[in-house]
Amino acid sequence: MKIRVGVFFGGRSVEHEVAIISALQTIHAIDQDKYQVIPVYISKQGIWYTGDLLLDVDNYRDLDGLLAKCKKILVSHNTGEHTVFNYPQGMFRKNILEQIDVAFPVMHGAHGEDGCLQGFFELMGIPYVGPNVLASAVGMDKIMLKAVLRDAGLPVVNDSWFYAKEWLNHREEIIGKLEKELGYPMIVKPADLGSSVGITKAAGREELEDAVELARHFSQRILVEEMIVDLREINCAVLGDHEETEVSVCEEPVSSSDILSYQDKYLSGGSSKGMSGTRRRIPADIPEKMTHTIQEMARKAFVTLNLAGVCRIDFLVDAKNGRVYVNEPNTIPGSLAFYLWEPVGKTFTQLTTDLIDIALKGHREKENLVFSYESNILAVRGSKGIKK
Amino acid sequence: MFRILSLAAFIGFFVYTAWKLKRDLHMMQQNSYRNERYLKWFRGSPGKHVRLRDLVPALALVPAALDYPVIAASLWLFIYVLLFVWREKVREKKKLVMTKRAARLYAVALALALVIAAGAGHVYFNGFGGVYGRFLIMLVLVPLNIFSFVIMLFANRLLAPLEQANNNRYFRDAQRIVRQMPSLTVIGVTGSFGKTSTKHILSRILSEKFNVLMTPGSFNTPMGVTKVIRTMLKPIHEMLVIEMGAKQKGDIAELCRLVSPRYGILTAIGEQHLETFKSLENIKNTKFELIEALPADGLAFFNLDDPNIWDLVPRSPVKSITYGIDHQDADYSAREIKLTPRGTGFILRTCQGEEVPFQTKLLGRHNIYNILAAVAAACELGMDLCDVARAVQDVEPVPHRLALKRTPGNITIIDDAFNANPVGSQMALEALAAIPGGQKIIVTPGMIELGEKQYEINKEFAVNAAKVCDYIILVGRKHTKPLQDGLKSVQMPRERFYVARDLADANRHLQTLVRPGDVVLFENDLPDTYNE
Repeated sequence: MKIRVGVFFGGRSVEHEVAIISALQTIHAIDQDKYQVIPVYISKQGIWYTGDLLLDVDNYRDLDGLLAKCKKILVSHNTGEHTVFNYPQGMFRKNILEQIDVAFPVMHGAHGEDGCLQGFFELMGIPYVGPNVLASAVGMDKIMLKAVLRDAGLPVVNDSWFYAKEWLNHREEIIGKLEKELGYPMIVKPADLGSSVGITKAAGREELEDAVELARHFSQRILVEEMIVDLREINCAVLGDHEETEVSVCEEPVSSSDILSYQDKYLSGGSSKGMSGTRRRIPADIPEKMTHTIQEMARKAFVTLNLAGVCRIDFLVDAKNGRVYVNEPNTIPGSLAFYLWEPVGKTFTQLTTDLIDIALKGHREKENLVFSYESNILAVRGSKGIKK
Repeated sequence: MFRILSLAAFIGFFVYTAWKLKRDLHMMQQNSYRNERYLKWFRGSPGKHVRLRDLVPALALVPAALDYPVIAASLWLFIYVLLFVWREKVREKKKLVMTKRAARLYAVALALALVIAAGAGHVYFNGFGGVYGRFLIMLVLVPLNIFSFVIMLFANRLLAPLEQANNNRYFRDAQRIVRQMPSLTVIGVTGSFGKTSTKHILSRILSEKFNVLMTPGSFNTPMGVTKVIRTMLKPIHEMLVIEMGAKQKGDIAELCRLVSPRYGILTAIGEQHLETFKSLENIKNTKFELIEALPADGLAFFNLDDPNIWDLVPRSPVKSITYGIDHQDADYSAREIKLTPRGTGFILRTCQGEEVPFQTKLLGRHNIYNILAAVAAACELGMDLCDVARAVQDVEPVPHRLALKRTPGNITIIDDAFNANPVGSQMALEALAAIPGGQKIIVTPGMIELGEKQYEINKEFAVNAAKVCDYIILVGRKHTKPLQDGLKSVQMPRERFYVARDLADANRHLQTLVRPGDVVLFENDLPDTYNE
């Protein structure tokens, strides 16, 4: 009997298509001798499907046609059942479609990488790949993230944040505060979006106002950071859990504009290579000492945030003075950052096997904790034990 | 009118009998649906089941004999309605579980009862055989109601071939599932005592490194294990730890045919279930079936401190690993054992001469044996000794097995309610003595199923308890007789023990005398079939 791995992908997120590519890459990397993959596709509307047709990227060109041929499903939320049901159910059809043993989410951004789906897995009581609810949520929220990293003594870029509603009522005060505390140029970011969507730089007041107007469409909270003018971006991936970690080589994405834009990140470099298709330098052309510093900071950030699985931690380097800042973790990185592991001798297949093993280990540890007691206190009325 | 009355009379009989059958079903379930066990248990305490009040409907025989059929039927109906309305409500410790099997059995028994009642009603109304016929019908039905379990036994016999076929099908299915997982390592644990704790400890240790499934609760029969495999075993599992129970010869061999274990742990051999096994030799051979079933590359684990095991070790067809406390030459041994209110500490030594300090929340010397068995198996399965030591620290006591608890009122409770053997009881007493505190109190109904030595063992237990305890509460009047005799023999003052009617009474009494700082041991907890 092979271990049945449910790969969850797609989702109600702006990074929907990228997630599809990452997921299909992952599915093809998973060791077919040990595991049986059950694809669970979540459409942009949030409807869940399964079917073997979901395994071929070419089928996604005609999405409506594809989904018409796939089966709509419900996954049981009952703890321990792990059952995939046909939906809606019928008298004359097979209602129980699949049974899964491990959940493997390959989703980017909202509803998949931010803890929502992880919460569902917790309710199901199923082992799942990647960080838990809290770590996923903190990793996604730039405001909380920076508070936690700063508290752990990790260097982060100076920033300030406010609610979009506040902006509407107190625009002048906020601008004044930002200009005083940070100064131009600044970077404006929606607080809790995974990708680079909605992120713009502001060199002056007018640009700042435009940037906030844009960001406010994506989030209720807005983060503004000092901009590092002479910027290099370096990424490093970490694999493991709170007990054991491995670090990958560092990479430097090469971008055409100042910030790695959505276009650069996902749309350049060919049709369907996902994150691995972005132009990048591997390993990054930085001094050995800096590589080491970044790897250790990546490890520390990983453990501080209680991450698990494979995460890509992004760093900002001020090329003028060589200062390194932690930017953000990607708790489910594009293409699972497999291209950072191949140089250290770990194949994509081995990476997926490791990820599943880490998920099973995390689940075992959780099972050894006490969540509730078997006996029903309401059913025992003074029959056993002493009441005082 | 007479037709309706006759009908009602026999419906009344049927309803009351149906209720009694449900109780019979409950007891049948507790006796594993085995007729011979049911009968044996019944012979053991018939008073539990036969109620004098069920004789009252025989009053209707008088008007029936005097040829007043209407009065007889009315009286008969009246009495059965009253019996039903005033039926006893017993609170059971182990509730009846309406499994499909139980439902099938109940349905057949009810159908039988209905046919009998309807047939009788038919004869009564039509007056076949006249006054004698009516008299005779009632004369037969009254005892049939009193001994309603006869219907249950008959229904069980009728269903036996069907149930057997069903069981065989499930058994083969479970066998197939295990064979489909060649990388699954199966570890069998058997012995007269310690197997449940050993299973728990081993599973907890192995879960540091592997995905482990253990048989839960007391699913230790072929059908229980079959159910666990069919419903709980998943492809993610790498280790399967199985507790193997035996009530008669061949039980363990059958379990081994089901799961094909590669490792076998024999915890200890004692006189548990001596009644069904007849001799100690039979018990030994039955437990040894596990070792005989191991493959050539398997490993057998033996407790060297148990003299009953000595002659088994050389008989082992596979490599043997031994453990012990008194035998420091064992492959895994413990020394410098220290018992405190927080648990136990000791030094463990492996066959390689490695020495590591161990600390555990578990109490008692027997738990050291259980830990040694589990540690030996985990190490032979390739685990690092330091990882093992860390896991042992986190092992929680099995509920009701010498589990140490503290109530908010600062009373220490040693809950050993699931124990039922002399050696375990003695160890519980030692733990009670070792824990510092105010009054030492024991609550116990004594032990059963110990064969001809039952009286002696219970008496001796009471004598030992009297040495340790400041106060003794015996649960039940009749079957604690040997214990009462034991207390008398050591002149335990009457004001220092109490014989309670049942557990509820014992608890009520306990609450009147327990004070903060006291230590209370709940020792053994008999099934409902012995609540006398």
